[in-house]
Amino acid sequence: MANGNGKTGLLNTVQEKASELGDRVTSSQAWDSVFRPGSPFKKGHTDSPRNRSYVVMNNVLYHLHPVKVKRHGVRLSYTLCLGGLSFFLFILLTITGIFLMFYYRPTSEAAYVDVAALSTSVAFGSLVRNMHRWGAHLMVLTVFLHMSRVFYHGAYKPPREFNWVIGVVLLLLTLLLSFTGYLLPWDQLARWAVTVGTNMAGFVPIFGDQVRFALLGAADVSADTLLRWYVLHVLFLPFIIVVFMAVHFWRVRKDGGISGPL
Amino acid sequence: MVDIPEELLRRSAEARAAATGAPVDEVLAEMRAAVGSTASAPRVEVGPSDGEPEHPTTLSDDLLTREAAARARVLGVPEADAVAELKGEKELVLPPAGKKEPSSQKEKKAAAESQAPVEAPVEKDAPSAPAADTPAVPLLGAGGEIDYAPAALALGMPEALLKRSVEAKAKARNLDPVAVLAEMTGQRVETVEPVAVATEPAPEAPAPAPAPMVAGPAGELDWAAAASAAGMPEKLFRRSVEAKAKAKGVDPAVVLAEMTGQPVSAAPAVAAAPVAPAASAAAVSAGELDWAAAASAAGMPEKLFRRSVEAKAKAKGVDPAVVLAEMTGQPVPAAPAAAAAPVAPAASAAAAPSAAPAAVTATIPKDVRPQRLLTVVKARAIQQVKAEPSDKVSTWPHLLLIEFVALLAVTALLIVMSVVIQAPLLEAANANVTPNPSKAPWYFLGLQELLTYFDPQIAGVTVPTIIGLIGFMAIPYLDRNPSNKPADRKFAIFMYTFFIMGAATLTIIGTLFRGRGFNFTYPWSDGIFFDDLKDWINFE
Ligand code: HEM
Repeated sequence: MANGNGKTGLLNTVQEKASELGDRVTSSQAWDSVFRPGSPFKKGHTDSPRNRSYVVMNNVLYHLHPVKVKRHGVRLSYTLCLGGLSFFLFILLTITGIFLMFYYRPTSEAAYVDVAALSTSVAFGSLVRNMHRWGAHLMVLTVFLHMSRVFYHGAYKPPREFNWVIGVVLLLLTLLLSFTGYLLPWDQLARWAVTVGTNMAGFVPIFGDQVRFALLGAADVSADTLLRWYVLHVLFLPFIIVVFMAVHFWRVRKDGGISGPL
Repeated sequence: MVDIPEELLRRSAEARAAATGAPVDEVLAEMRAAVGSTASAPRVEVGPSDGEPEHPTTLSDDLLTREAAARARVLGVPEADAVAELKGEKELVLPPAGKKEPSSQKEKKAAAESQAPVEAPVEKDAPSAPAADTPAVPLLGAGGEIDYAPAALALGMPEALLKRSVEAKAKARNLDPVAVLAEMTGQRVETVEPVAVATEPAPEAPAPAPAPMVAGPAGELDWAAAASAAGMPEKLFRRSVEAKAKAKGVDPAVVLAEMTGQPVSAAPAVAAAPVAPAASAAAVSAGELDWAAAASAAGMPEKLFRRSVEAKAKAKGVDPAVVLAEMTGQPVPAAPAAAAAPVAPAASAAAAPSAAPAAVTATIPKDVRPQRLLTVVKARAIQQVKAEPSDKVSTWPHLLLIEFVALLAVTALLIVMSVVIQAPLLEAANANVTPNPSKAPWYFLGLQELLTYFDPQIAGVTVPTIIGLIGFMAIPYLDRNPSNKPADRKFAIFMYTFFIMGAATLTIIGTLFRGRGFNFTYPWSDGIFFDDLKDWINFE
């Protein structure tokens, strides 16, 4: 039986029931308790300047963003979103990294086997491993490009000098995170890349050998190195970089938001 | 039903009786009847039942008119105005103080007495003010010395502070402390002859400054006294005076004299001359004040200055010319003083001698609370409080939507990349088999490339730590150019671009153009010797 809209009665009924159900859900106490005032997900939300402010102010996002930002700063062409994307890639790397940790053991016997097994016997193992690896390369790239965009905008000038210094530390930490992860597959590529890299540290005047020993946990790349770099990679460096990122974002806001316009 | 304490009622009745000349008892009875107070009799509760609201907000008509009449008489205003004021309809504009008509017997007597010159500055029990509402505060102790205690109590000030203040003011204005004290307690200064603040203006040859306060014994300025008279810390006061002097291009002594309301001392007076004598002369002859000159001398816009002077004059009930003269530090012209004199001829004579010094000393009307300068804030500090207006948009939705889209785009890119390109995994690590070539990750290959040209101490240590780390951190501190305009930053942009291009070139060479033994190769002829790329760049 067709009604005036050309819809069947059944479809109409389903639609009605669905919207009724949706209404019941959004007006429930549980739903209401999740979203704070001003949230677009709250029942009866209206778009007003006040509610736009509340979306940020009443939200955990307030830790990252002020309620209002400079108009030129939101233009994609100004920041190219590079800082934000660096941060987002870090989040993605954390998520995929946690997944990989479920299947990985940092010992010289198990490491290579576990990584190889990701591609053959773990659901989505290969995809997640690839995402983690390419994501890491991409992050080095975005951080570097972010630094370049900051330089070309002269955005390190007062009062943002110190945030640039923090940025350089972030770049170093990003490289170290990437480099420590490079060893973990424990294949020939990993082993010898780290050998070459740490050999450079051996050229430090006077303390060269000691520095290299501290990095490797041994005289040469070994099982000790693997464990040491694993801990640095999954625990220590992420912790440090999160602290520096927090300060970095804080300073972006406290130094008066995005620099410019040019 | 208003419940007025007996004490208050009695005092009010007394005041009214004094003002109207009626017997106190009569007034009191009248007031009791009107208010319905039963303070002396057992209290009778008259509730809302009698048709009146419990807390009347208006006085009964009868009481109101009588109260207004009394007030009108005391204050010398039209009765209609007094009624209006009591009804809360308008503010009462008091006529100039001098025009007050002595109404009570007591006042008339006081006015008559004040005609006679008195030897002692102010007698302890002498009626000090013609206004009945000014309580006389004893100024002198039993031994004839100044007694600050009652005055301090009356002013609500610590005695020591009052004493210091009075002495400083007296010194600053070259007056008797008693006169200052009398003035501060709102009493007329009856007897003190103007000491230095001459009544004889001599525009052609300005009188020499009554220097004691401006100049110390050695001829240098006495900052301490002047500062304390102005109620400011000495250092601050001095800086302010010097700044003003510099701004006007005159000697600090002139500014100081001017600020403390003294005639300007000889030499500087010449500079100030066109203003001062002109003003007073104009006031006397043409009856017109020279606002422009006076305003420019005070460093204020004329309109503002004029308004200020007129307001002051009105508040004090004197002629604007007097205030003007006072503000410009000149002797008070005779004519305006006379104009300010009470209308009643008897009082006129009494007021004449006192008007001059009173005007010069800038008396503050009794009911006006003097303001004190608490601190001097630099103009810049105030101006900087207001943030520059800037063009802003709401983070939601403008920024958050863009971020959300960017985030989705990167996620999509990464997933596609991960599906298409397989991450390399070579044979298991073997310490005994060295691949040829052995390469670092790509972001270190620029350095590895550099190792082929330079000593490891330079390429492996100096470049990454000194240039890469410390050098980059130092950029904001080395680049002192404040501009962020690309056109102003040609050198900086060139340096950075040059460095980045160099690093990129080295990295590309190290990654693609180095083959076995890290020797130079062409990737299109010998293939790719970099495992991360090997599987997805194919030149075949
Ligand atoms: C883990 C690495 C990094 C993350 C996650 C990160 C994140 C961010 C974000 C989100 C912003 C806001 C503006 C924008 O997106 O461009 C920002 C701004 C900034 N970053 Fe970074 N950043 C990183 C590394 C760096 C590096 C390596 C430098 C420089 C050496 C740097 C210097 C700055 C400066 C000076 C600003 C202020 C820019 C402006 O006001 O225009 N950051 N960063």
